[in-house]
Amino acid sequence: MKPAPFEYVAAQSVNDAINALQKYGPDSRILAGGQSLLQEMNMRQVRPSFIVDINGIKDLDYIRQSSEGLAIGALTRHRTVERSELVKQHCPILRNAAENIAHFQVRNRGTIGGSLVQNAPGAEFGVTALLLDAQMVVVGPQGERIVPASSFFVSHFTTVLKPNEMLTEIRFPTLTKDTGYSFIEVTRRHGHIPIVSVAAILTLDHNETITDVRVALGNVSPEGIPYRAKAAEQLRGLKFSDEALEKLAKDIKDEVNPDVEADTNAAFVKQFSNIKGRRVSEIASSEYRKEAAGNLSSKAVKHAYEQIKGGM
Amino acid sequence: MEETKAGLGVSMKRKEDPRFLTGYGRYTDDIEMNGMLHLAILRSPHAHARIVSIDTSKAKQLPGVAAILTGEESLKYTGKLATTIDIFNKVPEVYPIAHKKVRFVGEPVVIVAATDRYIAEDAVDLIEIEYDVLPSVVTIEDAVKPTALLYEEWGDNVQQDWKSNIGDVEAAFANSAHIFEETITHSRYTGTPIESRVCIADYNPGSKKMTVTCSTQAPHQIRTLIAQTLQIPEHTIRVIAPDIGGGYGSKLQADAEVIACIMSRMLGRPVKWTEDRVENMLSGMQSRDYSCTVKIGLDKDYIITGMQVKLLANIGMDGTCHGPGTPALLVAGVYFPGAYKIPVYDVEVLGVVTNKGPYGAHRGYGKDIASYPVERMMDIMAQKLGISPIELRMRNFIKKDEYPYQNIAGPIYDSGDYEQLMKIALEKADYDRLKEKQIELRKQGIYMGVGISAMLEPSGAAVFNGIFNGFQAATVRMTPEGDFQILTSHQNIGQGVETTLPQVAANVLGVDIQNITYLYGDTDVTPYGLGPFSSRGATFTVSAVHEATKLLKEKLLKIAGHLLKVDPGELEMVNGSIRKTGSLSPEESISLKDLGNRIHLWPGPYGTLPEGLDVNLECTYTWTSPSARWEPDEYGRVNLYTTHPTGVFIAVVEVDIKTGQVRIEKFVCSHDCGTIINPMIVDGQIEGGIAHGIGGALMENLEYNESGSLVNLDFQSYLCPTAMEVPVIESHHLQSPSPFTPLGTKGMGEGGTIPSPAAITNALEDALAPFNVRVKDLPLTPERVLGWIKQGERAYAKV
Repeated sequence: MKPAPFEYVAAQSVNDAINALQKYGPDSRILAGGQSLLQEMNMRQVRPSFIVDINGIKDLDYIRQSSEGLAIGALTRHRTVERSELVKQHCPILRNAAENIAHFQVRNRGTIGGSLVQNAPGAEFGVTALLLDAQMVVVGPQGERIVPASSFFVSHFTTVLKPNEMLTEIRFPTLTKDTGYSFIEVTRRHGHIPIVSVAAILTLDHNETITDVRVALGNVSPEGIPYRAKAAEQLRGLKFSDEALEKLAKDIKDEVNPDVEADTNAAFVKQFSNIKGRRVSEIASSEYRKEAAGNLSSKAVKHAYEQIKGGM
Repeated sequence: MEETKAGLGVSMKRKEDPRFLTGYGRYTDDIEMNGMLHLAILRSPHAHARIVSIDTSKAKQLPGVAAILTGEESLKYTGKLATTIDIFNKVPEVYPIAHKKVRFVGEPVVIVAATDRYIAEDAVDLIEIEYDVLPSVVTIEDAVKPTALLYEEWGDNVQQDWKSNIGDVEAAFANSAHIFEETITHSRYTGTPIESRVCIADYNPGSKKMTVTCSTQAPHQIRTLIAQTLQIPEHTIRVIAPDIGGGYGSKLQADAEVIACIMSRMLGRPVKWTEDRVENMLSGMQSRDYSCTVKIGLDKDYIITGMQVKLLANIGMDGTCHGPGTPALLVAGVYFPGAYKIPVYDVEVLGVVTNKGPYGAHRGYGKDIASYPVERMMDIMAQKLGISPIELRMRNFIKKDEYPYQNIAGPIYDSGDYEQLMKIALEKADYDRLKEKQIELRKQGIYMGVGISAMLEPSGAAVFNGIFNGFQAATVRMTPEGDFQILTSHQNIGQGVETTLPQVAANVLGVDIQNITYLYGDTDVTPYGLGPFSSRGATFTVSAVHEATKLLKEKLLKIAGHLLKVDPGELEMVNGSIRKTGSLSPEESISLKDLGNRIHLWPGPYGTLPEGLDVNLECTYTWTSPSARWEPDEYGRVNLYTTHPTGVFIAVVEVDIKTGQVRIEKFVCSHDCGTIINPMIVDGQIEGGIAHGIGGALMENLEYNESGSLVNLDFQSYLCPTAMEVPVIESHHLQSPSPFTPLGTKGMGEGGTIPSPAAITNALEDALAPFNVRVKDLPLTPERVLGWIKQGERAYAKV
């Protein structure tokens, strides 16, 4: 379990990194937290010839308040997001999302930018970014471009990033104080890769009429990217009720269309077996994921509701 | 519990833990030697194929590569793999490195030795092999059909085929008021020691001696098997086993370890092979994977009239040479009667070979196979009859006054009291309250269930024809400074023997356990003997240490009596001294240090020792079982296990009926392993065992696809329970001493694993009783559970 030979480049700035990516081309990979990449390399599932280590770019590790919300540097560790006061104040759902990422050892190293670019199906920050219409700041040889979350993810383990580009910042809007929110998952084990992940936000007026509701899900789309449920938006203007939740569960179940052959569409080949597989444990049948997507979504919206009522 | 310095029944903190907990443990992979090479193994990507050609030319040119060896070339240095065990089974001709044909994904095909593991793996990538792929045999059905033959010379794929019947089962069923039959299956899983297998072989061409340092449970058996496989004299081999990061039965054979020996023999240099997790999942020892049809008759009072069992097991490519797994099926075959009185018994065991990885031992060794189907069956019968599963068990339990009890299939149970264990478990779990709470919770949409399983843990095997033959030698010595060393072959694999064996000796000698060191893990140091398996420590090794210590004590008392001029019969050993019983006079007492010094130094032996005693303060005792019987009786029955711990385990689970997720809330168990040496260690063993059972019930499963590839090769896809999935575990103890061991102790450690899958599964069915859920397959994944709930809902909707 040792990686194939590779060249190692330590980038000290975003410019350094972009230059290195330009020089080495598609055969290079950025090393951020390394929590997915190094495993894949050790098992020789991927064999990049050049590793561009961005851990030395200290000014990509930040959480700042901006006029629209929060700006988070791509190299910010999950644990930093989880523990940030600013996140707690302005976009607390990110904290819940972070808490669901693996175990603390992984969260200490893994980065938000790395997770988004890796785009593993179900990954927590991708789902939350789509839920909140986050904006991705992407830098390449031609300079900076802003990509909305809705067009950032392309397919299993693939984003719009070109081989010579890198993600530098993610911008999240502020959640208003009266917004209820929730992030939950079905996993086979505590902290394990989600079979289905769900993020939801909810706002009500004083008559309990739903003014805004959004649900985003992971690991339920045919392309293997985060998915925003249309059925949720149909609740707008309705009174919050258990019946509405039941309908939501049913509608989302009917709406989502999980990839049936998730494993055959995946990006890498497992060693020693001729299976094109990602992680077998999170693969549950399309039917199960539909069912779980519906039930989990209504549960998440209900949590969000209880949170508003609990004044949290 | 209060800590004292000596004696049995005391929860002394483990002597080995400071070393482990502060990072001073020393494992095989920590050891580096001058000039050492590192191995990487090219493994078969095919489940079943002929090797057509191997081209190593490119790999040989890679700088840093020292040698490359194919299976065919290896025949210069090795014979076929030695047989670990051979009981009513076929023994295949298999080699450490595949030869002509591969029989499972992951089988070693070519070995590379290089200056480091990176280069060795790079070289593996450069080797080109042409295979002629054959149809693969994956399932039991494939094997029986057969889709192909693994060993053409056999003519079929059957490795084990055994039948036994006592009494007329058909007549018994004809006279029964109720008959039930179910087919119960269990998935394939493995021990997953956190330290995988590691081996450093160091062949010295000058002395022609081979030193093998490896992570093994059984240094002496490994030595013998290496000698037989490599066909070299056993006295020239030394096996050293340093600290071991877990074994659970999976490290009892010389399998891949032989490969390191072959390479070192060829190169005359030390070589190291460290198994990575993928290699361990593919080729480490696998277990379970069976389908068991149980038929039980009951009379009108629900007393069992007869039992018929057909066990079909998927062994994988071999369970006799690569690993000692096959006889586990026979153990199951004689232990299906379990905790119950079975008047008529009929059993058939069929073990087939397939293109899955090798079959070995794994915490349970067939006792788990005997337990799960029958303990499931008890609940299924109770459900169908509408009676309490407790009542059904109570009516059929072996009674306390019936011990020693002969199970109809031969085993002799030493002692126990199931009725009392059941009472304790129910009371401690607050069973009645739980069942009331279950009803209340269902009204709130919360589905909680309680499941029971009786436990029988045959421990301390003495099995003929192989490495599990059942004896143990122990040496106890006093040093000239008056402290002690215990030497046996019983490896420390985390079970606490560096503490418990000194406790046993301290109890005899009246000294502090800190003055006793336990020595093990070196075949040049300890007497020849067996390792820890079959929960045999507290049956065999404890008894051997106890008896050897008694011999030494007797000798010391004679010498002290001579010096103190007191009859040895009037002496006692207390607090590191020998004195006239009860005396406080310094003239009637001698410290062990003083005694040792006098014998060895001041003045030395002449005149110090009484007539007829030698100077060697070292006594050895070899303990064998008084109850093992290998001579078959008229029904062909034998008795292989000496002691039989018992228990009743209760699992409480909660199921999310929207997602099918199962959470284990709590385990309460009553447990009886006879005389307890260290209660804290006993509780720890039960907890660890239950964790293994939880893994098997909820998540662990070696999944092979239809072409015979293992699809979950790492800990991201093969899930083991973590501390988060293991609930609070309460253990309560009875102590029914074994009449067959000197201290009444019984081996233990597998008892948590054996009953817990049935307890969990029974609890799940209890939780989901409103949906009439019947568990089909393990593990209980959310998807499966939700599927069963949906099925139940649909059936309900029809009514």
